[in-house]
Amino acid sequence: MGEWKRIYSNPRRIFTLLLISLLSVVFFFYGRMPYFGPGSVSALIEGERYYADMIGRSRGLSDEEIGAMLDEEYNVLDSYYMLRVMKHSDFLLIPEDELKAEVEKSEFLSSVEKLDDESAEHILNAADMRLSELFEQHEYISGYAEYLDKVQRQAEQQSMTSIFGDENSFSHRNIVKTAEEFDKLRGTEVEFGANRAYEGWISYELADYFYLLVIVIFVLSFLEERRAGLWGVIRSSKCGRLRLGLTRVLILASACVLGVFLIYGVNLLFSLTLSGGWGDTGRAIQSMVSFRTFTQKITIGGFIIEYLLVKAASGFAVGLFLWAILGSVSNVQYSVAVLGVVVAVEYILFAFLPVQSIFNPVKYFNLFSYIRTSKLYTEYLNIDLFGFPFGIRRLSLAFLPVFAAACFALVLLVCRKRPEGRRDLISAVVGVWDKCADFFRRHFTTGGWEAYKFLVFERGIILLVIIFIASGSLSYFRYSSSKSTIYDAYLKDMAGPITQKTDEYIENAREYANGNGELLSALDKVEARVAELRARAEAGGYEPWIANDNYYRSVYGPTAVDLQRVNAAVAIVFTVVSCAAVMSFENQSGVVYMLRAQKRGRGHIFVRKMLVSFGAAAFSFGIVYIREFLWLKSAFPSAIELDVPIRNFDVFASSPLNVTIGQYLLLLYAARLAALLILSFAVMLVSSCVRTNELSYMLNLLFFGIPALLFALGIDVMRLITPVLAVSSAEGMWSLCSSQVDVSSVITWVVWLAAGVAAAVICFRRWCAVRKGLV
Amino acid sequence: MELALTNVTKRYGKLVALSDFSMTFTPGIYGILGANGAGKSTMMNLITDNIKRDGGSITFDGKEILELGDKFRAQLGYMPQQQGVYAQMTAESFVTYMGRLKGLRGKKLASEVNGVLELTNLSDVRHKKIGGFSGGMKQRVLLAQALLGDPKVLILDEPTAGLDPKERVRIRGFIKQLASDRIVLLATHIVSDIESIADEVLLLRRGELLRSAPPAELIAAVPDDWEPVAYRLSLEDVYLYFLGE
Repeated sequence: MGEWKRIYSNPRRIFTLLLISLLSVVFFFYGRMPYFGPGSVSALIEGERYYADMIGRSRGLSDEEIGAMLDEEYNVLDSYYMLRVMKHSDFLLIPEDELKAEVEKSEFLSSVEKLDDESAEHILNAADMRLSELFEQHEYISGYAEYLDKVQRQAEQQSMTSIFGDENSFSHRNIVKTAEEFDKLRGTEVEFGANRAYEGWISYELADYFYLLVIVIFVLSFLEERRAGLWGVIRSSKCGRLRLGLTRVLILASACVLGVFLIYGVNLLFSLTLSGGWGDTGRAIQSMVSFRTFTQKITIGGFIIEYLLVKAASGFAVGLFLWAILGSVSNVQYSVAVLGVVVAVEYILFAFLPVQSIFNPVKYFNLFSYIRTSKLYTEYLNIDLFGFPFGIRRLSLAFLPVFAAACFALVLLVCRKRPEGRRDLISAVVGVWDKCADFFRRHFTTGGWEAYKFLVFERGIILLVIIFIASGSLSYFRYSSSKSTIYDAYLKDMAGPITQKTDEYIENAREYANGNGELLSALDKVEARVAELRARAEAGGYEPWIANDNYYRSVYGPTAVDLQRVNAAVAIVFTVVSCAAVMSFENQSGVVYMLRAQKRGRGHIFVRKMLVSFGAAAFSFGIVYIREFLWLKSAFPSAIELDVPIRNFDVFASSPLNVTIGQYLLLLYAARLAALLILSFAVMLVSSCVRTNELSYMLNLLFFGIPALLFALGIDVMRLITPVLAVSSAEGMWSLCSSQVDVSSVITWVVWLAAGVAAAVICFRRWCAVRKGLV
Repeated sequence: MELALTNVTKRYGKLVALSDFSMTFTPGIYGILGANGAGKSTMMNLITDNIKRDGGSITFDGKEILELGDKFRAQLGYMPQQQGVYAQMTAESFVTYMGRLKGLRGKKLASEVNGVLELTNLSDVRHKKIGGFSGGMKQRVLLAQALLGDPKVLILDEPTAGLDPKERVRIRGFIKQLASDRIVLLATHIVSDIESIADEVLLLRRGELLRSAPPAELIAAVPDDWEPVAYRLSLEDVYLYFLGE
């Protein structure tokens, strides 16, 4: 009972489990969002509501009637969308009456019409995606019987070809088996219904890894006595060997059930709440598109129960496997490394080994088959075992008890393992590695040591790689539909400095216009525009240019405000995560007093720590913002001309800064980098105040990361406590140069600058100056 | 060479950790004895400028240590009581890193690192991670780093705790050798360590300096008729007589 209590009453463990469950739901929700930014949550919810409404309308209708209903809905949305485009165009008539009539046809459209343009567009897009899914489902349902026939026909045709004709070959047997299994599905009634919640739930891959994390947490809790140096004591006690091991096996089993509930159960309930409820769980599982190739006859409800049970059982087997590996190496740190290698190899085999490979049994008799269990249900595959085809799902599930029993036996051996024994191979390998590494490390300067501590001891290198990979999904451009007119076309064609050639172009264009009234009228406007730009430039003392500000507007301007905020929030999270352990690492190691008693243990080391933090912040800056600029240059190579004085753009005509767009961008990026460097000071301060890296990560994310993400999501009140506007700087710079100073951006910047300087001073004093009391 | 503490006071809230403490240290070994909370570690943290004093002055060769800053710390070797180390570092890496922080470099750093690892009997395990060391080995790593850079003031907080008897005697002998031209402040609960090597013993009680004298003098100060004495007075009896409330 003591072990149960120790494991289940640890507040830190309970908190971590709940946090994992919450994160799992958050990422599920995030994955369902049509995009990330202001208005995305309402777009998602409205889209789901639209889906539920459509499903509700389809109830009781025949297949044909559902098809007709979807077609009609498509026409309504399409007409409305076209009318909205026309409404925003200056060369098409705005048929107000028609628009009104379309809107009145639908309650959904009536609610959309009341929204501002941007929100309406997001919600319409979300509805459009849901409608496409319904079309796909309807098409699938209508064609399911035909699909089953097609499988039979293909089997017959293939059997007749010579290469599959040999009755003793795997290929022939596979064709026959496939045909037989699909033949059993004939007569299965597939029905149109609310599938989205289930499809989203089953395809949510991350849940499998969150579940794995839950299992790992419990397995690591079984090794806590090793970390605490109590292994010998526990093992010497009366019940410290097999009996304790068996208790822990039972705890692991209970943990798997708990994990299934916390991850899959909670996600399913959340998904159902989001997408309109349970629907009819008595329908055949094949009613869902994802289960097209699933050959077991079962209802949706039955499948959910079976799936959850399989999840619990496979989690148990995986847990025993992890425990056996971790427990077999005496040194906990090395055991984690060994486990990492084993898991990596298994994953590579699972993910990258081709299905056709002769080694494919190791792809499927694999740890990840039991982690990514949903694949066993959604992918139909027979593998070749001694020339006979075996369904991978049935085979994996049949092998599960054998795998679990083998791991259980290993676990029992691990429980009997002696704490002190012969030096193992891993220790010997690590010893050689350390000896070689020492040869290089003895040449490190103090700066080199700080960088090394950050990259290796604080796992900085792993974080930076993760950040690099995570940044791949950032987007930088928000398309803005500009009015396309002949006048604009001329300006686009004439883009560049206004010179004699500009006048010659206009003259030539007049000739080519050949008396066309529309073209000539546009050229009049162009001429007037050129004259205006010349006059403005002469008065302002800069070079006149014809340039289109639309590209800048779509990346740095008002059109892309939400993207800029999201990217700034991401840059903040990256900086926070990478800098959080820089100071707390010393506190955690308990070396602060000793370092401070050294000649170079104060200012010298602080400056180097600061430089490491700056490096991490600059990396985040580069990953988010240098990438942004490179993207802009590569996406519009001919349109981006950095020498254009910004006053040539109408929006910046009265800019207090007489700079080129290149200088404007330089200022913008400098401001962003400065804001991130200031943030690194604030993160360092928090980090220096806590005893453990773990706490530093949590507090820094709480203070800086989460408010930034919430603000990026559109929770405006967060602007008061997050430096997103300072890090983005795009809104502030744009408003400054367009002479409409955005006070909140300026205030944020000033407050943030002051806070950063204060943080730097306090942090420096905490590290270098005398302390008031003991740490 | 002289390290002088004059009227040094340190309070933690209402608790007076060190009260009006005055003492002048010249080269030699000073054993500091006192029960837990007597103010030994506080005194060491004040000398290493790890905590802020509430009053008094600490001077090294007549100059305030706060003004001397890193010039003073360059003369300082400090071995803290807590076994805080970078568990991920090897013994050699850790000592090399600390050597860098003491301003050592190049061949001088390499030879000093080799020297202190040899002295503390860590040469055989120099490439092993400190995280895997026993308490006694960690203690030796901490002592090794304190000895780097030929410090003129050596502050050792429980240097022999966790060491086996053979190792303790060896380290004790080594500290004795060092004391000829430097100030060694040695705080410990192992009274026999101080008895055998200290030139002078400081008895601290509740933040106050109770007595300060060579061990023999302190032993002589214990009355012959003091009850617990069986046959021969030792410094342990002095401890019990003066501090064993």
